[in-house]
Amino acid sequence: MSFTERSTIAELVTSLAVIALFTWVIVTRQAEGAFSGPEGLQTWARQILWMIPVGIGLGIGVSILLALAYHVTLREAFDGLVDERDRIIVLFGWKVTAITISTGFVAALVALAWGVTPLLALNLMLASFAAGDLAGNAARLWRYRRGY
Amino acid sequence: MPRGSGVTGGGTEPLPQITNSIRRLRFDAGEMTQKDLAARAGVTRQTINALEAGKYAPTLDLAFRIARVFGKPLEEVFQYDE
Repeated sequence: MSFTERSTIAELVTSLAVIALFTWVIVTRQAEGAFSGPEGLQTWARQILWMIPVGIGLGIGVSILLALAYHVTLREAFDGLVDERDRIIVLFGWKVTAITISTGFVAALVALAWGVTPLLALNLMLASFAAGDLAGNAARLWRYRRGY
Repeated sequence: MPRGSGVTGGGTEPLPQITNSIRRLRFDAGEMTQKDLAARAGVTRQTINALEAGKYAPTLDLAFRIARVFGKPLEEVFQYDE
């Protein structure tokens, strides 16, 4: 398994963990009524701004741990080599991510136009980012599994 | 001379097939492993495997690097089947 394929798996696992954390925090805070009232959107934005660096930090930490676990378990030397095939597959993943996020953004706009609350529309946009991240990594993994 | 599997370049359009003789050339070069060839060509072993399986068409740059590893002209390593 190449370095980037392992990274893709690590990112997929990390994304699932971060998304689960985000979902739990947002649902909990929503149930507490934190996003209600005239300052609800501001509270939501502050919450997300706080969670983004946490998510990135968690992602880096989990990726490092998984990479270490892989090398310790299989006793393979760390190469970190990324070649042209890896770059093409990564670009394909980005394309899938971009399409998913764009679709989610439009869906959120349509939902807003149909009368859902701005908070729900923002949550839909946030969900589209999460879905885009997962879809991009899954697409990369699929290309790796089939060889190209 | 046996040829390797072909690949159309990854697109959906019907392209002429690019085939290669990497597997045979590795065998002729003292049963060079995919790992050795990958290291000498500066790519991952998985890329060499994908090339041999006909799942991936290399860039011109990589094609030349692989040909140089074997000390062969490009057309002896890669073939363009119209």
